[in-house]
Amino acid sequence: MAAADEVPDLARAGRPRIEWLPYLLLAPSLVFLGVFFAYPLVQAFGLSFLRPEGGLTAEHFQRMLGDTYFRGAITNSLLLTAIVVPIQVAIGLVIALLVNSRFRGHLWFLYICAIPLAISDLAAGLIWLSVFTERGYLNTLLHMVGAVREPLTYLSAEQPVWLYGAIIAAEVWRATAIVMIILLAGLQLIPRDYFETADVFGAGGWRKLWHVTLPLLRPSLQTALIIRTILAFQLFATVITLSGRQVPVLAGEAYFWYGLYRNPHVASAYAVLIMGVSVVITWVYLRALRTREEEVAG
Amino acid sequence: MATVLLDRVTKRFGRVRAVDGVTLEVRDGEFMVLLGPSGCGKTTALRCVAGLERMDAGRIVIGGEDVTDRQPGRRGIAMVFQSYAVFPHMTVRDNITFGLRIRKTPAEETRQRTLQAAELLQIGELLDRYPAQLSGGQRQRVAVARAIVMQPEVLLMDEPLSNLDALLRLQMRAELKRLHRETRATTVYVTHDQVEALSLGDRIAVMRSGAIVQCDTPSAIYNRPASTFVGGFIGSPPMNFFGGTVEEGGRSVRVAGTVLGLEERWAGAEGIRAGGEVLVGVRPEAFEVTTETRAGAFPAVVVVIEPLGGTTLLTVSVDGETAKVTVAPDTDHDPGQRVWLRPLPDRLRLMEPGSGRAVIPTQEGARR
Repeated sequence: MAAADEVPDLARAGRPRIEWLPYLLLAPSLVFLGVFFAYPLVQAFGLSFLRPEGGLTAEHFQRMLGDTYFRGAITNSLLLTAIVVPIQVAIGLVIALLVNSRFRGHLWFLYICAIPLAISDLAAGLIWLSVFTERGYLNTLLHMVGAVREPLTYLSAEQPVWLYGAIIAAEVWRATAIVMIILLAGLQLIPRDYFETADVFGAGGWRKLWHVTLPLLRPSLQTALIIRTILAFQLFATVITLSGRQVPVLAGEAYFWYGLYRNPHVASAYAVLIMGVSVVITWVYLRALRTREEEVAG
Repeated sequence: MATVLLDRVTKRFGRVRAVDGVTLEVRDGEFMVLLGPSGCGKTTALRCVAGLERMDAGRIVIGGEDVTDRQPGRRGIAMVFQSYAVFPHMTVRDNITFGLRIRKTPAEETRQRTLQAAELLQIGELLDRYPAQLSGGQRQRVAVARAIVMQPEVLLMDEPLSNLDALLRLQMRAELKRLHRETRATTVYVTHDQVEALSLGDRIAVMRSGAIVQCDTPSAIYNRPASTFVGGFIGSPPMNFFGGTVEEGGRSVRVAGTVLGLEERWAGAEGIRAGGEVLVGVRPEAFEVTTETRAGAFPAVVVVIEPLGGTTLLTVSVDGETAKVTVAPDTDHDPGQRVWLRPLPDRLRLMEPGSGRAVIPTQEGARR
């Protein structure tokens, strides 16, 4: 019978032992995401597709589409995203490259550039409001140098370029830092040998940027673009502070329908629309900027 | 092809002098190895030649032209990095043609040179693959191909074999030697592996603490080390050193109570005087081992016997000091056995105990 004892119990060996620790460590995040993201998400879907008295309906979406502000909101959201995100990525990349070149005082430069990270969007909106309002810093400055006699009005629907410009300036100022931080982290992950190889083979600054830095930075660019685009569609506080409802945006409409018109169904329809657009754009980025399996640095 | 001159090159990192006034001339078409333990400044010296480090003092002259203030890309060099640094986002072909594309080489010439380089490195079938699909050894070949396709005047290599496994390293070592024979590019090669240095180098510059302590042919470095450091660093196992006293005005030396006759050339050498202390350096294979006493042999006790296949390595105790001796594999020895070691007179070296510097025998001194 000794031989039988030596035969391993295949049935027992075949069943893997469950390791509970990873799940335990993941649990707090899962609970958080479940309570504050998954549940509201399901609820928003429900609200946008269900009649108050029960049953599926498209009427909330129809109401959203027929609303006077809708066309403006979707146009503004798309337009602001299309303008703001490229500017942010360009400036963020330039700052990240500058910091990564480690010039004298680069750390101070980094800290100063990162300050807006710590400022809420509402506060950022107020800061720029204090610049552009009629008795704001810009007019004071122009008055001091004698450029204007009367204070100019910038933040009005009659001055759409100024109004848009102020929102763009506030958004670029507020949220370029996160792009810069993501890209800087990405840059620092690229081994120095690649740049030195480019140096040895005679690649100048631009070619090094184009042939070496940007391709190797692609995963970070992708992350930065996705995060910034999604957040740009949720643009709300800076726009409201600077323009009120003169420049309607999608997230603002969701807020107004919820808070002002007390209609959570149409508000949820806006939320679902924002999510839908975000999903589509993320998918496009992932496809367009994907790093092929075989290109992954090994 | 070109000569390379490092002229009193100094590079400091903070207060550390990584390279300290190094002067070295590499001849046209020569394979020069910079050898030394980690932190000796060999890689920094190479990077100074490449122009990747800004020097604190000195000049770099390549092919008779002072390139000290030139960018790395304008020095006529190509380099192979320890990490290979093969671009992961480019195919093998794009990696190899990288430098040619930067230099705007005509397409047809680029194609031919790429095929030639790929042929030479036997990676012709891999041209359309990405680096992640290659093994470490294949990536290494791509890095070398990328360098030689430039037909550089000077090829710089920074520990190119150190990330390969032992068998592959042996294979690539021979390939690099063949490659050098075929291209004849002046090569500066950095390694900490003394076997690699001995097998590859036309000459070896042994470095320590930012300075070159000896620069000579592999056989001269091996047989006539300039100091106890070189003798101990090169050769595996390293050179044995025994404390001794000079007698008969330099015609013999007493080691472990035994008088060893010295060749005539030592008698008039500087640092040799009667009653003076010296270190007697003997390579492990430069002993005659007998089991009975004889003239010119000192006694030792066998401690450990290690058969290594081709030879057998004995660890012996001489007057309480440990020494390593290689013998033929068929010899019979037992632990605890008493043996007599007779250093071959022509292979014995003398060193000054304080400085560790080699004593230069008279003929050799005259020859220089």
